[in-house]
Amino acid sequence: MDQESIQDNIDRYLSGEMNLDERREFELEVSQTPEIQRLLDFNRKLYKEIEVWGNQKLRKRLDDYYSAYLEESDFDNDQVGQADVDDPKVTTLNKTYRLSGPPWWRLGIAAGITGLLVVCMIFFIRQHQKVELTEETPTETQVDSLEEINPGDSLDDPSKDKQEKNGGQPEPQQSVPGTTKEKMIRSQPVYAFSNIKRLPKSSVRAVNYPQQLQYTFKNGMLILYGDPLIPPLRLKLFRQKGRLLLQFADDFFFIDPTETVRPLNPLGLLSVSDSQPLDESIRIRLANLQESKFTQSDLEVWIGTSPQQIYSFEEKNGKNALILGGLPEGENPLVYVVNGQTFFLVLGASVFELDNAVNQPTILRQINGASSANARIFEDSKEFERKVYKIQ
Amino acid sequence: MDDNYLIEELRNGNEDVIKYLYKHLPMVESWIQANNGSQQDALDLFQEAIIVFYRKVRDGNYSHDSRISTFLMAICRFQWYTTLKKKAKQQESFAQINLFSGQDTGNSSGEPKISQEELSLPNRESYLKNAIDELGEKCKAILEAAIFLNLKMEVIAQRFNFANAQSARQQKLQCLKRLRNKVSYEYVMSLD
Repeated sequence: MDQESIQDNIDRYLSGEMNLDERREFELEVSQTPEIQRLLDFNRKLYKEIEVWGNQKLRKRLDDYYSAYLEESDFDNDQVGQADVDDPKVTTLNKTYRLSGPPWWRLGIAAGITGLLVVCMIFFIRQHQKVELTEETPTETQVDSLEEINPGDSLDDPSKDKQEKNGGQPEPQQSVPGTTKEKMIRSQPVYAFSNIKRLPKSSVRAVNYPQQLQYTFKNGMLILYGDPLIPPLRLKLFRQKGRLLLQFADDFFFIDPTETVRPLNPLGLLSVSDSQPLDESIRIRLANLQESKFTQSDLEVWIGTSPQQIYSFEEKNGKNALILGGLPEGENPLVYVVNGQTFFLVLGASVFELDNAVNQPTILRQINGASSANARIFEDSKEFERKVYKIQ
Repeated sequence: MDDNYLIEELRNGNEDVIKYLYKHLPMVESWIQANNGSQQDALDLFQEAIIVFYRKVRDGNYSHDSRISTFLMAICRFQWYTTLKKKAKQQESFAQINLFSGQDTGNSSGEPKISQEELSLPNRESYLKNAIDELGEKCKAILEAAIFLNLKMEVIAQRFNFANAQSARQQKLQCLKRLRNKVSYEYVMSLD
């Protein structure tokens, strides 16, 4: 059996893809061939380790799902009070809610609110249609060329974009004014770039997310770098014989006063029991990704003039380059390449996600923390206070 | 969201639906709080229960006999009783237990002595984890999908734009080969 077939069989065996006969035959072969036995044991260990690693990643993602759940619950409470997704009565934003309590008056209120919203939307559309239609005609004409985007082009169709992200499920329309605006944007001509200049290399940054956690601890403020999306509830502080200990998920770290950025080295397995609250709290700030460690990316970024905020990934000097246009004067644009595959433009407090499949001038799409975890990693750092507990 | 739909979505690799499981958290919270636990305990247990549930679904071992909420609650109850038993045992011998389990520093009055060398010694976790982390993003994602999430090769082919299941398997084997080449056989085999 050649090396490739051996690996293939080992993989099918460890992944549980062999039927009973195949398993028996393979096990017999393993017992007679020490080399295959050796390879099988080696692979088994690696598979086990991938499971452990995957589990750690999943735990991290669970924190994100929990945050998403909390955000949606807050939203639900703002919208319709008591919410539960079990028994659909009212549908909005791709979610279903159950209105608990006596149904007649709750449904009455819901119908009233819906009616009021519809009236407001109709009024809003009528007011705005005039204004937006006048904006449809571009006022600037000094650009090199004009390009009409095909309304059916999926790259510029936000609803299709959302559909893809939802695994093919059509995104329900959130509000009529938003939809009208999207139609307006699609029907507007998108301009090409002119007068392009290279953005300094120092403004094009490669970052990894998440990174190894690092910290500084001075003037009673603990700043954590590397993962701005850590849910605050997952962080606990302890004092053990005067020394400060931070717990995050299952890991513990010593925190010593320091003005320099130091890595957080996990201390291994600890058992914490009988903790007593102390009369001490410490402020923690989760630094955003802009403050974390970055290197220079080799992506070329060019900035041109254009009456609209647009971008495109195009081949330039034989290399894939990003071209941005219509950015406001005076802002220092920063481009971040996260994990080598996701692209963001940060303009002051605004964050834009860039799709590297876009190869013709396309309007920049701004994202924000309320709708995207990606935006939150660049937005303002989170600050909060945590109580310290004493342990033996 | 219907239980069967949620399970089907998880099997198809749409992990995002996990967030809908958190609607069962308040039920677990009230039970844990009524049994001497905190909200944080409840959250930790609930996350563990989700992992158990997810793995069962992933491996095709989840039985549809009970509702997901009942399953999660049962896991949390079981885990909490186990934790309480452990706590009771720990309290019995608390005087002997040092903060660092299994390690007696013999230095109860001073600070624990841990040298930088000790902190930075490669252990099983960091050695293999670093090797995995050094793989390319795509390889990591394929190994996670194929081995941890146990997704079918057809699903992986679709997700990563491979021509078919066979080329997805080839990629998986290539990635495993890269991982094997990054680590020492002797060292890995010497680990627990």
